[in-house]
Amino acid sequence: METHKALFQQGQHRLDKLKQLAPRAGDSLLEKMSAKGINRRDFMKWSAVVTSMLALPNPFTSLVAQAAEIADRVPLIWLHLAECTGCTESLLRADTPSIDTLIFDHVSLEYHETLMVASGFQAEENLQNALEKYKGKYLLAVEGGVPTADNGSFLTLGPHGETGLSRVQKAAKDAVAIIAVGTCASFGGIQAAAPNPTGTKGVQEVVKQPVINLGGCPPNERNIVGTLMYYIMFGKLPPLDMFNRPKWAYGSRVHDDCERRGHFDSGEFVEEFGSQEAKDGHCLYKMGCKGPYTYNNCPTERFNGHTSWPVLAGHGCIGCSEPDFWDAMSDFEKPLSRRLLTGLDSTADTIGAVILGAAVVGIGAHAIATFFVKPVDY
Amino acid sequence: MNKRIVIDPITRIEGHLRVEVEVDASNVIQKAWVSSTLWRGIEVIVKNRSPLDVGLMVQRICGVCTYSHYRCSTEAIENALGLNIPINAQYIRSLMMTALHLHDHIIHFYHLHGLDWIDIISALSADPAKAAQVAMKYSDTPILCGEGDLRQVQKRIKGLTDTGKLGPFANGYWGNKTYKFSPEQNLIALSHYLKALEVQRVAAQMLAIFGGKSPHPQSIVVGGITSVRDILSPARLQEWKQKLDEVGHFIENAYYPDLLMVADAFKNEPSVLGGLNIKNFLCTDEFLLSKGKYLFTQGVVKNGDLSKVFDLNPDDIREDVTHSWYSADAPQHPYEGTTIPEYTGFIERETLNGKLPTLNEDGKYSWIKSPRYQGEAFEVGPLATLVVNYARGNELIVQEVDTFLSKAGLPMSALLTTLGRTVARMLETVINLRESEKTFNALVSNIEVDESTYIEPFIDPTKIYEGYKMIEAPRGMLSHWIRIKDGKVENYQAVVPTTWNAGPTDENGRIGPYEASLIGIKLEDPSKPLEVLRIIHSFDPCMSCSVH
Amino acid sequence: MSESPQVLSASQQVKLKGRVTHIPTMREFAFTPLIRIFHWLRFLAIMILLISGFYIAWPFLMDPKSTDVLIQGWMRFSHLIFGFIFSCITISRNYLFLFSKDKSERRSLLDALSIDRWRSQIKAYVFLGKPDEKSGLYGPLQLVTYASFYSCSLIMVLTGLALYSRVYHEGLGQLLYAPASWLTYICGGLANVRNIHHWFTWVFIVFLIVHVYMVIWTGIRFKKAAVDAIISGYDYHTHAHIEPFPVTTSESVNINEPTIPNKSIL
Ligand code: HEM
Ligand code: HEM
Ligand code: NFV
Ligand code: SF4
Ligand code: SF4
Ligand code: F3S
Ligand SMILES: [Mg+2]
Repeated sequence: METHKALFQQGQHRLDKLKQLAPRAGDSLLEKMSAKGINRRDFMKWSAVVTSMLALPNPFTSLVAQAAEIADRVPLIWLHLAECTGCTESLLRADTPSIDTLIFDHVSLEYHETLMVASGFQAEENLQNALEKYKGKYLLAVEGGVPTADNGSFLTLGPHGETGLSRVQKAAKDAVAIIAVGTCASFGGIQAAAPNPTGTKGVQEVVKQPVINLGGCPPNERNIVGTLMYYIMFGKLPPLDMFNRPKWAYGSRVHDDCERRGHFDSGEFVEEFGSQEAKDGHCLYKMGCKGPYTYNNCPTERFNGHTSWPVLAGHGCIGCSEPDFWDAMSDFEKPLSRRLLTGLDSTADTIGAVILGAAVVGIGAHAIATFFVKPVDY
Repeated sequence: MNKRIVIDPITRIEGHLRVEVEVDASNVIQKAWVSSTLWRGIEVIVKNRSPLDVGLMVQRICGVCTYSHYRCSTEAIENALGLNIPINAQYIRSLMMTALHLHDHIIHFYHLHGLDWIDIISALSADPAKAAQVAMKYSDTPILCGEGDLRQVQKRIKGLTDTGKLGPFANGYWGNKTYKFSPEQNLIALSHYLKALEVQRVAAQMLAIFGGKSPHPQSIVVGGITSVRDILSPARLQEWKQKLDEVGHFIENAYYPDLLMVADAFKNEPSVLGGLNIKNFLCTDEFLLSKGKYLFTQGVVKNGDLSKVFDLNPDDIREDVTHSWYSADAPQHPYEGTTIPEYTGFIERETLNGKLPTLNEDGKYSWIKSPRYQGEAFEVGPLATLVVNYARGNELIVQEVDTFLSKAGLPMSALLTTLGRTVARMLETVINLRESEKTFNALVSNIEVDESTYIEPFIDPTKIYEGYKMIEAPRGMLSHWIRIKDGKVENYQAVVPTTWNAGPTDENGRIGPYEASLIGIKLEDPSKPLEVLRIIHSFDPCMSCSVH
Repeated sequence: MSESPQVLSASQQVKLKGRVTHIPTMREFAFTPLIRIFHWLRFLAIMILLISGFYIAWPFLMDPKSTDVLIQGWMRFSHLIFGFIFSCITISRNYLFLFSKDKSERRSLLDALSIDRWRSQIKAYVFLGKPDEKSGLYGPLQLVTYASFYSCSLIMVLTGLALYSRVYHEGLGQLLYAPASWLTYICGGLANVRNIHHWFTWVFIVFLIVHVYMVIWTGIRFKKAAVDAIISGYDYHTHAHIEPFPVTTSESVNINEPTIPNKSIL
């Protein structure tokens, strides 16, 4: 295909340019891999998997492999704002032996508060140096939402007590691309749930630059690494969906690829946790599964090196990669039609029924009144 | 002239932590203040919601000790509703707790705390052959400590330092004199640091087997557990067992010997033998071994007096906000607790690094509240668990503690130090690891006769319910308190391990464990306060937990 | 097209005077066949959509322990089939309103602009007199109600199609993908699209009840626009009814001389 050909050339061109930059680590990725007992074949297999995950055709495998090898040319600054560090944890918990993690390790990580050794002034110095030195070149990853109420004072960072709001805006200015890791950074997350006492917002709402959103609480580590790889390869944003999430990861609904989908189509539902139907693996729709409204690749990628995912563990999806899901998808163990409306104590159906009742009463009254009024004369 | 030193951010922890200390002319810390600089308001957010949703929400208090809050909340609600959940669900929840502890403690010692003990740069000058011999001193069967293994580790580090781009290792306090490992010991520890990255992933998978994923599992519900298919699957159970063995192998042959090595190298370093000035300890029941029987038992030890252990009384807990950025008239019991923000900011003053915004110790200065038990500050965490259970004469614990101390050649008093805190975490892990088999076996034999995993909760909207739960999270005793009215959450409070440890001074001027632990410590170089990091890290800070 | 209404002869009128005047003496052509067909087809579609829709929201018939009973599948199948039928009707009816050769519907817009007509219609509903004769088919209140009904239909169609394109990714689903994404974005996620679709379901239920009551009541009280009008197309009513109004724009014929006008079905 013409477009793929052009994309391939663009990628190859960019990689050739990156290769001229100085590597960060002395040992190459291949050396690192051999130290971990990962051979070239495993690596090429991994590259092929990532290629298909990124929805690219087979020839791109070689680009993915090259990009992985020179990932250490791309400086990455990772900021923590209003968050729980679950996204970082997700990244650290990838497969064994994990090439994903190795790649992350291999990326030129300039600032990351959970992992870096330096603290205090030394940490601040690292950040300022990186912002300066790699101006216009660094990738910015943000974990956590941005508190904006009270001028952002619900979060301050560093010896100068800078607000998270100001820091992310500054760092965004000279970033070559911005990746919002997780639902907090993408859409505000848990702290932005009603009544959002800190006025927390997603990064995209407080910076002018485009932001790639990796929804999920936390997102699958594959989605984080895949996005990094895409960026390294092409130096541009991947195709995004309506909420700026990469299509290759958030292109279909959990429901589309769910292993229990057959039971949904057959109308076989779990009605109570622990029941025979639950043991038989029936569909969790009636237990509140939000898979039909949630874009994510959990059923195909699963978590923790393919160990499991929520629906496999017998609990419905709670929609964790969607905007505002803490409010829009609750009650989590009830389907949408049975959820209590926020602020009101009843479901849409009860309110509908009440309005209907009122209409019927009104009609009845009107009809009765008709008997007592003077007929219209002609 | 006293000098003020600001350390912000404290890295290699969860969340946003600022520490300020005041040192005298000889660089000995006179005063210390600890602050967390992020508030998210989760206790406010869960109000007016369905109690059945709260567990999933409060789980997002923390992605590191993930599941702690989820489980604690769920069980607080079960307590409020008077639900007795099936024993299978209790065992599984306990096994998941084990997986979490194994995971969290390994990550903490190696990846968060590790580089306070290990000097990467020094490892470069180690002799791998000699290091291989040194490793034999601490274990008969060391992991990844053959000469060849160690040579490879060294090569990796060298590659890194040669480029001059240290990435996440840049600007550490390398070369500080309180790093006590020999180059060979550094190399051994580094080898395990790298291996631990893999092992922790296996431990996380253990949590995911019954939890669906880690962090933030999704299989606990009010009334039981949803992963019934995994629980009833022999293949899944076997998978769990096999991963437990894999993680256990590392803990027995790397984590344990590495702490013998730490004890050996650091036992004369004063900054490591201090760092514990509040000798009050609290812990609660944890790790269900069989019906009603726990591995660790609740209790209270005061003033380091191991001859008396009191039972923990939940009525005696209060949270004080005198120096926290909240408003409240008086210390509150969690059932009546409020969380009303009142931010007052920093004040400018002269510091070692010039004029800076600093904590206002006379006013409010942290988002962390100050929990008190019978009006006193208490330390919680693995050390507290061991101390209380040692004092209770729990045979298993007494034996494990004594064995370690004698192997390490340490006196009992060494337990009540920064070093002891780090050792205690490892010992708790080892004991938990070995005993968890009992839980596992109890589960397996029970599911042969009883497959129930869930009972349906009922919430009467005309009733008011009140309930709480205390569990032992990786960082210590965690409690959640809930009041349900009209079928919805009316009030919610979490009193969290790191809140106990890191809270500011209270209305009576009683100082908390973090702040107290720093006082009297001499800093080698105030511009590179490694000693502060090491002491604070020994608590395993989790700021998102502490504030929530 | 309108001819002047034909009235009864003087002697016939004398006969009727002082007697029950409920016997329809006039009929006016009101609804073209297409409008009527659409009306009833839509009625059918909505009934099926309501049942199948609520079933989709909460599948209330449990599985009879056999995978070859696809209740859920049939429910979703019929919801989609009638969803598309409903979409087509909604679009066609909007087209007809705007472009039908028969102007009587469009003329209702004039009534809606007249405050007097509003007043008289509302007064008539609260038993204070008769509604004015109108220039178009519907009184102002009716027009507004039906217009709102069509807006709600449009919302159902748009959200329904958006949901459809998320379930079926080929063909039409693919074609609709981009606009559906946009709509999903506007709503703040697919769950909200579904919520809106669900909430508006209630509009149809309430409308149905009120609507049926109103047409029956109007028929009885004013001897006009009774239920049969939407079946036969003719509004049968008394002669006197139109008397105060010298100009009537709708077409009337003498009931005694049932000459059916030659109309196109549009
Ligand atoms: C009066 C018209 C309609 C009514 C009353 C109606 C009602 C409903 C209801 C109650 C639901 C369930 C929502 C929930 O989960 O709570 C639903 C779902 C749905 N409706 Fe409709 N609907 C109407 C028209 C349409 C139309 C025009 C379409 C377009 C083709 C459509 C397509 C759908 C689809 C695709 C679903 C989701 C089915 C699934 O995910 O399996 N509906 N509808
Ligand atoms: C879901 C059910 C129904 C809907 C949505 C509906 C909708 C409508 C609408 C929109 C109109 C205006 C003409 C048009 O646009 O087609 C109308 C007129 C009419 N409908 Fe229905 N209808 C429903 C059921 C019924 C039923 C069950 C009856 C009879 C009992 C009925 C009797 C009439 C009559 C007599 C008119 C003409 C009244 C007038 O001039 O305003 N409808 N209906
Ligand atoms: N403190 C704390 Fe947690 C733990 N362990 C909570 O309960 O860390 Ni994130
Ligand atoms: S998105 Fe979820 S896992 Fe990530 S930081 Fe936010 S709450 Fe934690
Ligand atoms: S379990 Fe959820 S995602 Fe899976 S088929 Fe059922 S509703 Fe869809
Ligand atoms: S809850 Fe989240 S993890 Fe996947 S299954 Fe649902 S998107
Ligand atoms: Mg609290």
